[in-house]
Amino acid sequence: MIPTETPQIHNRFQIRCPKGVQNVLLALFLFHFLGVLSEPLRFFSRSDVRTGPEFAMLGELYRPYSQWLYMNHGYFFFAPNPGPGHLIRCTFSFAKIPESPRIEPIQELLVPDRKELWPRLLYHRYFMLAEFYNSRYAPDTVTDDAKKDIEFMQRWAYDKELYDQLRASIASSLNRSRNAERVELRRLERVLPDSQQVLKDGWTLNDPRLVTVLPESMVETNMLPPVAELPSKPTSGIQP
Amino acid sequence: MNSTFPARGRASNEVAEEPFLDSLRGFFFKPSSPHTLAVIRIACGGMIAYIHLVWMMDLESFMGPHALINNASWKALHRGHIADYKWTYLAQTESMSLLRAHEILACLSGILLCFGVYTRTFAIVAWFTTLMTAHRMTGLLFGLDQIVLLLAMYLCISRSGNVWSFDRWMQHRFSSACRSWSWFDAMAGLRSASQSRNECTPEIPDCWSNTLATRLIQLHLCVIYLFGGLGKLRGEMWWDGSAMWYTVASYDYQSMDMTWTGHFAILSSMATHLTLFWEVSYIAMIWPKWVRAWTLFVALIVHGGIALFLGMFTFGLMMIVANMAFVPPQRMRRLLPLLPLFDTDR
Repeated sequence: MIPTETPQIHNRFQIRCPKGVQNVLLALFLFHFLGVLSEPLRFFSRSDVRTGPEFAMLGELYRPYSQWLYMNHGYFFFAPNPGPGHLIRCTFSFAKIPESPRIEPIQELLVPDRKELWPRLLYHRYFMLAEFYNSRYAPDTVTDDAKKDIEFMQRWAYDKELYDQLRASIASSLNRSRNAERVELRRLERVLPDSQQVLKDGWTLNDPRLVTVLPESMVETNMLPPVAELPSKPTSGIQP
Repeated sequence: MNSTFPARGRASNEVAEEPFLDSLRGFFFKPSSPHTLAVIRIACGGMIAYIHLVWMMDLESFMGPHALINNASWKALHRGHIADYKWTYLAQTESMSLLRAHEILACLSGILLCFGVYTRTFAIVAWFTTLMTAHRMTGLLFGLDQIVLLLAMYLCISRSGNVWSFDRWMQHRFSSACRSWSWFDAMAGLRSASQSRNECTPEIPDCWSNTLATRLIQLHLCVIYLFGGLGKLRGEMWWDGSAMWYTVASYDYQSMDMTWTGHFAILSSMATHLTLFWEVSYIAMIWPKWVRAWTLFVALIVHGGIALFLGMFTFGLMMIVANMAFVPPQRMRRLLPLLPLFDTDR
C-alpha cells in the first residue's frame, strides 16, 4: 500500500545508506514522528474538563523538542468553525497637536489597517497581533461571584498581569511611532454576516453594524453598542 | 505483512530476511534524485527571503526596545508557571544593529538557498535564523511560518542543491578534469566544448537522504491535513455546508469579493463538504497512485483559493509547494522543461 516510488532517472550513481545507519535513522524517525504527533494529539484531546491523560503525558514529554523546533501546533485552520475577526481600536491623545496643515493628527486607528499596511503579509502580521491580543484578554475587574473561586482568582491574577503587560507594551510602541502622549486600546470584534444580510439586505462585509466593542471588565454588562452607535469622535483613521 | 509492504526498495541481489523492515528501509532510504526537492528548495528559499524582507520593513515595531511585544513582555509570556522551551537570542538583545544584522543574514541565506549556493550550509543557516525569528515573534505568526520552517528543516538533510542550483552549475563549469578534454576536443574540432563538458561533469547521484527528506515532508503533511480535517469535523458549519460562506464573508481575510457564491448555496455547500472530506481523507488518498493526481488537484484548488481569495497568497503558495513532495522527481523534471539552466545532467 505504501508507495516506494523512488525513481531512478539515470541510475548511474547511487549513494546508499549503510544498513546499520538506516536502523539508527529509523529509530530517530520514530522519535521525531511522535514529536510531530504529540501537540496535535494533545490539542485535539482537550475538553473543558480535561485533556486525554496519555496525550497530555506525550505532549509534556515532547514539549521541549516540539516547542523548540516550532512543531507545537494543533493545525486547527478555520476550525472548528470560521470565527469572527478581532481588531484593536487605538485612540490617541496628543499633548500638542502638530500645527503644520500637512500633518493630519490621527486620533483613532484600527489595527490592522488594510489601507495602511502593505504588503499583505505585513497586514497579516498585525492581524495576528490583534487576534493574539484578544486571546490573552483577562478582565480588569471580576464579579463578586467569581471572587469566591480561589483557583479562578489565582489564574485570573496571573492572566491579568500578562494582559496588562502586553497592553502596556503595545501602547508604548504605538505611542512612540505616532508621537502621541497616550493611547487607549479597545478590543473590537467583527462578526461574520450571514448570506441574507449581505445578499438581500445589502450589508457590506465591513458594515459598521458588524463591529462591536468588547468589554474590558466582567462588571461591564454585555458587549458595548456597535461602533457606529458610539458617541461621535474624530474618526479620520478608523476603518472600515 | 509482505502484501502490505511490498519490498520494492530492496536491491535485486539482496535477500529479504525481514520483509517488514526491508520494506520500511526501501520506503525511507531507497536512493532518489533531487529534482522535486530542488523545486521545493527554490520556493522555500525565496519565501524565507521575502518573510524576512517584510519583517525588516517595520523591524522596530517587531523587535528591539520599542517593539509591540517588547522583550519584557516576551519573557513574561514565555517564562511563566508553565514550562516553556522557546529560546532565541533575539529576545536577549535590544540592539537594533544586531537585530538588523540577523534579519539581513536570514534574508540573504534565503536568497542563497533559493539559488542553491553552498546549498546545505545555507539551508541550515536559513532554517536556524528563521526559527530564531519565529521564536521571537510570538503572537505575530500563522500557518505560513509553520510550513516554511517545516520545509526548511527537512531540506537541511537533503541534497536538493545537486540540481537546478549554482552549486551544480559551478561543478559543471569548473570541472577541472573536463576542462582539458573540452578545450582539447573543441580545438581539435572533434566536438563542441559544451558537449564534451556535459559528458565529463560528475553525475547527479540518486541519494538516500533525498528520499528521507521527501518522506518526512510527506508524512508531516499528512499529519497536518489529518488534524486540520478532524478539527473541522467538530464544527457544525462544516457539516451544514455554511463554512465556505462564512470563510468568504470574513472581511479581515478577504482579498477578493466572493460573496456572489452565496447565490449558489448548493455549490457553496458542496465546496464546503468537498474540502472537509478531502482534508480528512488526504492521509489515505494521497498514497495510491490512481487517486494521487486527483488529491493533488484538489489541494491545488483549495490552496489556490486561499491564496487568491483569502488574502494569504504566501501561505497558499507554500502549501501547494509542500504538496509537490508527492510529485515523483522524474515527473517534476518533465513538468519543468524550462528549467534547464543549471540542469547540466540533461
